[in-house]
Amino acid sequence: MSDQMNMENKIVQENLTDAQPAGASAPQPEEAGKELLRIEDLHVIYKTDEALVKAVNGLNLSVRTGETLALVGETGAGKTTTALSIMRLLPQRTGSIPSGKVIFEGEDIRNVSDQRMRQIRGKDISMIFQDPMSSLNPVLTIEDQISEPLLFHNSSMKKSDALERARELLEMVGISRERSREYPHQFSGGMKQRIIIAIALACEPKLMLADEPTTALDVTIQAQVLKLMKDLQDKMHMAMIMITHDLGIVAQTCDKVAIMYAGKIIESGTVEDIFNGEKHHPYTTGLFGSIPEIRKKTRRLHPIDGLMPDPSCLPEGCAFHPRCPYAQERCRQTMPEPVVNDTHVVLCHLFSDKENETEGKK
Amino acid sequence: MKADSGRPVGKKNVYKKESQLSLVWKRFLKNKTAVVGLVVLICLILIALSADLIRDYNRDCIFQNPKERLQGPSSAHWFGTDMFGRDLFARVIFGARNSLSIGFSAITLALCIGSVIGSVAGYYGGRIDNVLMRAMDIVLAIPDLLLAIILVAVLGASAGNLVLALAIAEVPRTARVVRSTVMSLRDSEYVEAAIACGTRDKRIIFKHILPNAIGPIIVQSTLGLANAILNVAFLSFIGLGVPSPAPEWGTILSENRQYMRNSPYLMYFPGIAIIISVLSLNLIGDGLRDAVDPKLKN
Amino acid sequence: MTAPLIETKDLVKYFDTPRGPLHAVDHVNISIRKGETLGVVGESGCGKSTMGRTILKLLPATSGEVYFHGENILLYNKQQTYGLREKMQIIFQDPHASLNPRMTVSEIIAEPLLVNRRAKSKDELEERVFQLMETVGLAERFVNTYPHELDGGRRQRIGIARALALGPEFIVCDEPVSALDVSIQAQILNLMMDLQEAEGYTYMFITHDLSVVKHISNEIAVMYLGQCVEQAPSDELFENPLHPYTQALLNAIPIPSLRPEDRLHDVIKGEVSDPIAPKPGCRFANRCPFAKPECTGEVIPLKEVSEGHFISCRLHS
Repeated sequence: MSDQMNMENKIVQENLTDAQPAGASAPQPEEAGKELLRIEDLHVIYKTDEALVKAVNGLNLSVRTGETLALVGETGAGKTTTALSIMRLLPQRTGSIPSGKVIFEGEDIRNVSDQRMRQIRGKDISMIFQDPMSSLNPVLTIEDQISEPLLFHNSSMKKSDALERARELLEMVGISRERSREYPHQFSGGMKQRIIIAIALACEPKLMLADEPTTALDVTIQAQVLKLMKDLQDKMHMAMIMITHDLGIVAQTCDKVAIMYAGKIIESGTVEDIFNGEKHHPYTTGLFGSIPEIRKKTRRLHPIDGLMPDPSCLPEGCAFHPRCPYAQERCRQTMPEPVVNDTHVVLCHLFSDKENETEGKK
Repeated sequence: MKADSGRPVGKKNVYKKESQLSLVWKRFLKNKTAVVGLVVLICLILIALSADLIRDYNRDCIFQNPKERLQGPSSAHWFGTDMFGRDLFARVIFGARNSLSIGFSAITLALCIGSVIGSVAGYYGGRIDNVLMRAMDIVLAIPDLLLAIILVAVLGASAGNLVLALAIAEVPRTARVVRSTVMSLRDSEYVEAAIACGTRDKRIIFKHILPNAIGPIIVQSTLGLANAILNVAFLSFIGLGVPSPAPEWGTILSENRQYMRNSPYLMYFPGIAIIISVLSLNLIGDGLRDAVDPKLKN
Repeated sequence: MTAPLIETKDLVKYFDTPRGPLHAVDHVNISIRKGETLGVVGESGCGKSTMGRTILKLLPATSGEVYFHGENILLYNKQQTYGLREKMQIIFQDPHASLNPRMTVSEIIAEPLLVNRRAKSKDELEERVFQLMETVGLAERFVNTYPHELDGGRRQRIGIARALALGPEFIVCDEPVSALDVSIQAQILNLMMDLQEAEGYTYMFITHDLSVVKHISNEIAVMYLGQCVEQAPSDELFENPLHPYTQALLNAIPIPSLRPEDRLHDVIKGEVSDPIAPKPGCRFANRCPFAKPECTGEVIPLKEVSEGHFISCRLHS
């Protein structure tokens, strides 16, 4: 951290508006909003010597071009597993996808060849992980790391061109191009995350998977990085799946929300549906009740009793029933059917028949 | 605040304990080569311990029998006989006793001394660390065999002196491993928590730090033991080991040198014994290192 | 007005580095009254954790005074410091690293009782451990389990039980809920607040999460690069944040609401400057939208601008 960095800070916001992504063309009107990714009934398991872990149990979601979908849930809900499954990056020895479809641009990438998958990763679908410290290779310069996907996906590209493009990308994420030959350890956490964003965006992917990208960052740096991601996403007309547990980030950056619990999406809809809507899954209500809010004066928080179930031994019926204040007999026995209300879908017996309709209060 | 349900307060502490040790053990068992090493070592130890039951020490090992000299392996003498007509099998298994016991004793002694030196140096740091570690460096600078040779030459060749010499040679390595482990654990948050509770230094080192340092220390000791056994054999080979006519693998190799070309079995059996014990210890050491490695704790 | 239980005067903690002294805590003055909670907020590198540990004498202070019941504890000798441990405790952030992996739950909780000879017999010790477990909401059946077998929330409860074992007066809570899931966070916060109400504990609650700190604190101190830039009663700080950094911090929090007035705006630029051998004056100047040349160069003292509301800023002097 030095005067150089202070200098750089002044350049940060200015450069953001100057640099243009190469080859960015305005999307055709018909393309905007086309379905890009659809996941159908995805099941993912981890098989260890001790147990069979059911990480994802029948997940359905869809993302359109240019859209941001928030995948919300607590530890153990299966969000990271879902992202890794899309990228086919599950640990080989233990992870497997027994059933389900992952359809990207009309192609079921669950079964394509490894070679085809390598073409997709980094070029059409990119991922950024939670911890910027360990995502970067400490012995390579950052320009080498940013140019790597460029060279891999464009066999005709010359090394010098790739490096030049890498420097442009650096400027796009607000880092001075003079620093392109430096090493990761010379940058702070927030800057490392920007570098990772640059690497992920190098080949202008259509879909970006961001797994808790700002959890490890300070709140003021988080705000900067979120703004950066939003700006770049708008410029490149990119779709994003934002994995987070922070409902504040969801409200500020996302268009659609999917709330996960024990490997299933138990509620989904637009941000309007989730934040301002009427009927909610009791877990969603519980999540909102757990957050100490800055605007309100609450004496006691209203957390959800108990813990997320162990994915190697899930309860029968609805996985949330042991913790649910409204649990009925049928909740213990059968999984509820999705109740659809235009864009808002809830998986709860409370809303399945009209006689038992109750409003989930926030 | 909602507590989970449990038995009424006041009941005696009757719940079961599943220790870390059993976890490490389970992980170790998954490593097939390590388990093979362990089995082999256990067999060696058992044979060494029950040597008396299999063969008679004086009649088979010591008593010379010129009529039966240099006979190849047969049903009467499983490994054949040496140039004095002594049963080679008996000499090898009694030799195991010497090699293993001297090795174990040396390592145990090194462990005790090295742990204390290493913990004190690692925990207190600063000048104490400097002084202790420079002393260790001095000892380490002398090749251990040379050191052992000098010590034995000065003190005289006996099992006890051999143990002492090998222990001294091994102490610096043990101390280093203990020191680095203690240093890395000294700054752990749970040590800080212990300090915040008012725990005194001695208890922190022995109750909080060392039990967590055991992993690398055991690995180092196992590999050190392999080394010690090899050193015992070498020292015996050059005549500074266990005095004749006591059997020891290195001694056997040494005394039968001239006859090996015609009777190669004289070389095979003690040689293989050395190889098997060192190899099995190495396999166990590697297996332990993997089993204890915290990175695999997931 | 009753005298504060804990007070620091010009507390300084510097670390020696090859490039110069790292100003972790720089002339900080705070005070906490008995039974109340002081929230200490700031981002990484602001020195809040270091300050907590320095107050507890887990780190040696470079200079300054720390008064506990009116006595300067930095002058205490080793024996007296051991005595302090019974009255001042700490709850750590990381429920994984702060528990000895080789000790069972009961051994961990019993440790302070054992080393301070609080139990006369093994049975009494066991009894006390069960009581503490019940107080923090840990089921009895966990008494012989190891920390790695339990989840983060339960592990944190063990840490809390350990901190309460000696019946302390003052507890430094170093980001106790940051590593936990939101619903578990809420459980633990409720627990801590209930305990404070029941037993009258005094807390110094260190966190980077402003919404959490508002919930639990009576007063809040905002720290930036080792300096305390603003201090005020909790509600006052949120209704009327005066220091530009406090304002920036509040603006940066993503609010879970879709109202236009709650959108993220005025995102602050830049990064934290170097804490090693910093220039005198305000350390926030390089990022401050209101910075003037007179902001750096001289120390800016903490000034009371209204009842209990202190600020260190040229704009308000």
